[in-house]
Amino acid sequence: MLWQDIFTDAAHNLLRKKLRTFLTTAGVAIGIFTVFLTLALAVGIKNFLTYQMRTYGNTKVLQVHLKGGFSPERMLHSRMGGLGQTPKPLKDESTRFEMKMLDEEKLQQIRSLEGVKSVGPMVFAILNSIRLYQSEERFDVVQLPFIAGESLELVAGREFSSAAAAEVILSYSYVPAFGYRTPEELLGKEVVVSVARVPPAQFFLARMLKEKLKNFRVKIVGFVGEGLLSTAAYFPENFAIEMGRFSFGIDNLFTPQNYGFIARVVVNDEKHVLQVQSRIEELGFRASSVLEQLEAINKLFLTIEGVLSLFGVIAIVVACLGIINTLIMSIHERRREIGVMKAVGATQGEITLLYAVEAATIGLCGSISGIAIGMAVGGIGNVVAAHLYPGYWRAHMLFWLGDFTVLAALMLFGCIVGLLAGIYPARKAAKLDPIRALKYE
Amino acid sequence: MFLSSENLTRSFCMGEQTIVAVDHINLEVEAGEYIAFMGPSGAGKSTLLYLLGGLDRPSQGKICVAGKEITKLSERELARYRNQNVAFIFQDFNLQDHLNVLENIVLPLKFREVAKREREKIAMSLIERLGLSQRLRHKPSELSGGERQRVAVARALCGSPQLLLADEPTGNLDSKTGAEIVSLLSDLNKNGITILVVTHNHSVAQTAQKIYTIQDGKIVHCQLLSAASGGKA
Repeated sequence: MLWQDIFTDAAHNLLRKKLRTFLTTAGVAIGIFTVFLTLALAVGIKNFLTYQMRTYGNTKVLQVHLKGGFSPERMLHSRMGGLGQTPKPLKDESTRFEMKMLDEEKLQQIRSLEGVKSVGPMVFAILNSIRLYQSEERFDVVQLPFIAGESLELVAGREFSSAAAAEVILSYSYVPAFGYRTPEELLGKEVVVSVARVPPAQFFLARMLKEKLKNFRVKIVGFVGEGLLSTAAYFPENFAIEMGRFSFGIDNLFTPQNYGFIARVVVNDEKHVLQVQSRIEELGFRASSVLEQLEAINKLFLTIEGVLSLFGVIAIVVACLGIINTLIMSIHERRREIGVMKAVGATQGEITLLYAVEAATIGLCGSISGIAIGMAVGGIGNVVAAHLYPGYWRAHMLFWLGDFTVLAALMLFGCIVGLLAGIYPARKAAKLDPIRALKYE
Repeated sequence: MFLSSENLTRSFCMGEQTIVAVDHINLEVEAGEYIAFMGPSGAGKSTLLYLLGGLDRPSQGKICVAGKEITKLSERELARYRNQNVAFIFQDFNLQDHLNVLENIVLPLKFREVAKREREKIAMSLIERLGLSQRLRHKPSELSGGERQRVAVARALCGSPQLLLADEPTGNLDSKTGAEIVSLLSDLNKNGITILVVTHNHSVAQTAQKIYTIQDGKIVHCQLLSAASGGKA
């Protein structure tokens, strides 16, 4: 039988029982829709978080501190009331938040490791507020480290003119906060950044203290995309050092004599980050990286995707049963037809193929419909999410709507699922005894 | 010898009982012969026909057609044998209800991988010959019994078979239409096609060159008819 005839006959046969074919196809469509939408949601959220993590910190950068000198997880547990964990006995006499400073001698050990590009202090200051120059309305702000040569993804403007320039790159969220419509309108305008003086020992009480403030007037030169880091501000490194020294009240902070309590290690290649991280830890430091957190997120979402996919798989299994049922009913009704086909010379293979193509067509049509409905629902979901939570979902998709390769793979998957479901009925049809089939009433 | 069978036996198990439908039949058919099988219902006539046409496999014995032992063929080879050498005409026509006249007629050519245009060209000449030109796009349910059987004959001839097997071809037709079909079969035989027909109808059998009487799965009688008696139902 020619392929053209097989496809024409399969389509013709399916259209003979339109309602039954529609309902079976709808079953497959629901299965594929469930798989598509759950994966779209999981991937959408994962992409969003990954983007935010990458925005928060460069993936080639490690934060290094001395053991017992600065433990973010311990501090978090303490400040949040233990986070449900049993209190652990402290091993030394140090206060819970004592900060041990890093110096050149300590960093030299890290600098000599293979794969390390540069080692320097993690420069930061405690910012109190930000406001437009000549405006009294103040806003929350947090300073994030800017690393020259490791570009930020700017949505408007440019990078800094020099390491000491009084310039700032802000989060896009400040555009509406300052009462503007586009970031371009704010480029070149000046803002006043208030830096709080907080001695290291009182670091975690900063917001409770009567802060001593110093104002820095800086020019807005760029904007980064909107996201979770909606109050982020980036400053040129030397300018940030000046703010940091005021903030912590230490004149030689961020110099080889006193690098502060966190070092910033830049690795040559993202591929070597985790390797370098483990070597640094072997030297007796604590190290953390965005990449490590990204890996944790990926593992978590892999689990979530797996669990969510299970629901889709259940729906697809039910759809498969629908296909099998439809084809078996069809075989009973078309017994005589199959007998005639055999009498005029159809081989078992040709009859198998004819039924298998019918099943695969149901699978393909179901997956196309499922994907189309999924894309429509996901698209509407994205619009609603962007409307309800513009800060999070205006620039990102809550439901990841895929690229051509993934969609094509999903269609192929639907087709294969249909084909597999059709194998048993197809073989059953092919093995019918032609004489019995011809005499079937 | 065009067709021969040797010790051809077909038995069926019905519970604990074994029914022998065809019992050690030895048959020889020359090319271009027209043979009728007669006998009471359940004698094994149709079973013999299906065995000779390769629709069924014998329990014992062998069948040779045009020098080839078809009982040794694989499932696929047997299907090809049916497609290229044999054609069936059934009592209840066995047309595909969802297909129109033209689509029904070209069915054997579909399984011979003949392109659509080519097979329709072949079918059109048969359609004209059998007077079905006005019924080309009609479904079987819109045709009379005689027209349906003519469509079945056209489908049988479409693949230019060497062997035509007819199982009660006039059983569901009135006598006038039956006579038309019988006349058609005689014409086909005159054109060189070997025909084996199973019938209860004596006037149909009288058009053949030989009548075999079958009883309890065995050939119990053979009657030779003169060629001049053919053509009348």
